[in-house]
Amino acid sequence: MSPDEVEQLLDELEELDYHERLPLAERAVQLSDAMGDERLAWQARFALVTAAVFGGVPEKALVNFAWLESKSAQDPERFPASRAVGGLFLSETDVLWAYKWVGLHLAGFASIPRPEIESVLERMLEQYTKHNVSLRPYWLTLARAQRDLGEPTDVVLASFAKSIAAPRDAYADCVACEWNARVEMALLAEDIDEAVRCAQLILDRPYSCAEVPQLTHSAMVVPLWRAGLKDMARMHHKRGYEISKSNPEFLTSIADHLDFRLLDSDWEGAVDLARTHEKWAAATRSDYRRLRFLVSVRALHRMAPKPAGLREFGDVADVDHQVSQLVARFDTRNGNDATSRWLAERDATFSA
Amino acid sequence: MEHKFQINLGGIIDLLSNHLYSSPSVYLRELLQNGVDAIRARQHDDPEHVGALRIELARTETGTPTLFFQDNGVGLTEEETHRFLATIGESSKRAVEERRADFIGQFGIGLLSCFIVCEEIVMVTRSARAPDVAVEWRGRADGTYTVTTRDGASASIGTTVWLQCKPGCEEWFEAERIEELVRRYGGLLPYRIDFVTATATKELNDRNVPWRNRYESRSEEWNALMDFGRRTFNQDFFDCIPLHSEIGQVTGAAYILPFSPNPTAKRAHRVYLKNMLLSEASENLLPSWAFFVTCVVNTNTLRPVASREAFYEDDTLQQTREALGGALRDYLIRLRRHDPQRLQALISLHYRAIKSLATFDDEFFEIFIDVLPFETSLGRMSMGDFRTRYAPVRYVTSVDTFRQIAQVAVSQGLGIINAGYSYDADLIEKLPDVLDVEIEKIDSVDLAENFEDLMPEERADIFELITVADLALQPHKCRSDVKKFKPVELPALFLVNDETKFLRNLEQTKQVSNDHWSSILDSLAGSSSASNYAQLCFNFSNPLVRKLARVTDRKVLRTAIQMLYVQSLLMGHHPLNASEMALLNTGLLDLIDLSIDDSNEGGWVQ
Repeated sequence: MSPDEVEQLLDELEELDYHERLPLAERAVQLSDAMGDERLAWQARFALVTAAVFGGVPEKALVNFAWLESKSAQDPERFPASRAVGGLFLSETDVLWAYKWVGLHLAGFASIPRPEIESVLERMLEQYTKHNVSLRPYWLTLARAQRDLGEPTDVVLASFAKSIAAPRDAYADCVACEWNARVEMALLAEDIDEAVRCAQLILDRPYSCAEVPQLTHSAMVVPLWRAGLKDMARMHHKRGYEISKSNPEFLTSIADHLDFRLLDSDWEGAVDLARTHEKWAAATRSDYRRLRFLVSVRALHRMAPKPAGLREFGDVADVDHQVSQLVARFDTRNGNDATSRWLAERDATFSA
Repeated sequence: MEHKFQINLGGIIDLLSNHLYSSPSVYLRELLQNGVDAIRARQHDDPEHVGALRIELARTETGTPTLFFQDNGVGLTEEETHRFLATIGESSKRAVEERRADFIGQFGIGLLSCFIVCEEIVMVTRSARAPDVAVEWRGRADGTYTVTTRDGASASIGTTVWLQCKPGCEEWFEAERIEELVRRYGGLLPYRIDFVTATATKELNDRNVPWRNRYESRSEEWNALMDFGRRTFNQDFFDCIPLHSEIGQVTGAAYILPFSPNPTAKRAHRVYLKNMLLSEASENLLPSWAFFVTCVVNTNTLRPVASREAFYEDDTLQQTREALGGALRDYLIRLRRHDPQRLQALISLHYRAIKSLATFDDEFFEIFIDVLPFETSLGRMSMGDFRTRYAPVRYVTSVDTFRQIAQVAVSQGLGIINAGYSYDADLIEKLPDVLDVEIEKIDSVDLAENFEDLMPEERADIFELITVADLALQPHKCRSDVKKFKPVELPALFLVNDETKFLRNLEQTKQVSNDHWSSILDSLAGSSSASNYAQLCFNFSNPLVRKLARVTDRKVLRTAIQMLYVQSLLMGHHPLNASEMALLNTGLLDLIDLSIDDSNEGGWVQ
């Protein structure tokens, strides 16, 4: 195969949904590597990282980002970390942009020690500072990482406040993602009114991108139900599940939708949903993604009368065991008991 | 102290007319919309009123194109004429939500778009509600206007707008262009639209819209719909499906494409709002799986977003989409039950869409799964045929894996489905739940587990081969084994599964990574119990491998093993990296050298 054919392959995969791009992107990387064409390998790896992030395989994004970042560090002239023109215009994914994705997913792997995660975030800060671009994405990435590492809410919100105070430039998320981040943070702050306002704004405009409003819908379902806004929760569930159900990237969103069906006492629907998507949870290497789905399956076992047809994770005792192990690993890695507390809070909501 | 903004009306008009609208052609759309709304307002007062529109193209003495646009709608009173401009500055939210309900406000905004193509608008209007007086309004692009009144008898009831083309806009006053635009925007309007030029008068709109008519038979309706589709899209279709939804008040037809579309290509539907063209590229009206049709529909109640290319995602839209999707689903089920031949033809074009629906619809899955085609190690066949011949249903989830093992699987007498294409794995994985069918996901390593082990005495024969192979292949992270398998012509098979591939990729990345990332990659790999070694499985049923087992010269044996390794990679469609390419090059030369060196008597066993 020639470099032209690999480029054609890269063009072709742009036509596919993200989760279907992955095999082709991997093929493009293999072929570029085999040809020893580093320029093409660089291009193909960005395609692979993008497909992996938006196709629900973050481990592959991490591995290939490591290659990109290392190449860029070794030869910044040939492989620049930033492709932004004048700090305002960015026509392709670059290392600085991909830092946001990697920063978001690192904490989901319980085997990666906390200091290593923090050092990636420091490196992100260094790179953003070195290229003289806004730190808005850095603070948001930090806020999310702090949340996932079990830091107190006020620490997370302080980082988020710094993010929204920083100017928007070429590396700022799209408008849909930014409003969705406000939804996330409002929910973390238990400000349901603000979350509803921001979510409604996303739906009214309407703002959308590869992940929004899928993530918005799923984030809202349980908090709305708990706030007594059941019809609104049902609307978010119905619309959100429909547009999330085909892409493994939305595994944790699917878990939110499973939670909704449990709260709604829709046992049959809950089992159906768990059965349909459990293979995604079984296939993921991300401990957080698996844990998030498993705790919903655990609730399903506790709440639904005799859920049948689930294959991947064994019976209620097996699921309990896997959840306990994962929670313990996260608590150990994070150096706090945030994951245990999160599970206990869930148990209060999802009890038989 | 409170102050008031100074608004430059001329600037606002410039903004609206030259920047808000995407193309000058919208001036005709807005004139049509104003005319239609005026007729509807008059019909509200007088349900028997027969609406009509008349467009006349003429030239002034100096040759400047001039357009008269006349409707027999409700007309405006003098007070309404003053008021319509006063509403221009109201919020866009109001404009969106109340525009349809506020005829006057809408009229003013619509008329302003005419300043894209002219410097002055003259409007003569006589209200059906106050017919004694006719009003003449002259508005200029600088934001000034005059209003004069005259005797009602001097004008017919309704409104006539007179536009004189401004320099540079002549193309928007060409008869052919006007005809095309009016047909496009107003093609479905139920009111007669006459177009008058110096040479002819013709009726422009097709009021014979099939879903407004009653038909004696289904075939007559089908013919009318197919004919309408052909005229609308200028192409023939495979079939058509009438669409109707009370929710959203949607009526129209879906046309099945006569070719296989790309599932991710956006399907653009032609959508009319109250019979005026809203968009030719509306996206979210049908469920995502319905990418095998394009449709033309009219809706009376769905809310378009500002770009007009989609509708607001609200409950009405969702229920409408479910209803329209239901009509398409019913059509497919009818075909399955009553017209298997036509279904086969449709499946050959659109099996992807059907698979997409079956993925999340158990009932539909049960009806369709056995007629859906899959690529298998024995060629393309339906799931029904496949599962009557093979149980359990074995499948691989990547096209690459399938390529690597299909030939071997056939020789082993195994049927394997290539589920590396969209929806296939999801569908197969539904089989146990919905139809209680046993399935088995396999990869090349699993396949090798079915290979026959060597007898103890044979194992002794291959000790040297295995030892040299492990040493020769160690730099390539590959171990060796020897089994017996079919086809006997295949000397060796390269085996690697997804987990091993991931770890090999990770290992490869570590080679170029700095310490920082290297440590993270180690942490990431740490949780895996799998090996990052692939396997080269020699086939002891193959005569060449049996010969190799008897070679005593380690150098010769090593070269032969390396060449078999490279050959197995090529057979399995694995790209060769630089070191493997070097093996191929040096190995070939070594083998040529060996084959022509007479003194090499300790080499090949004859």
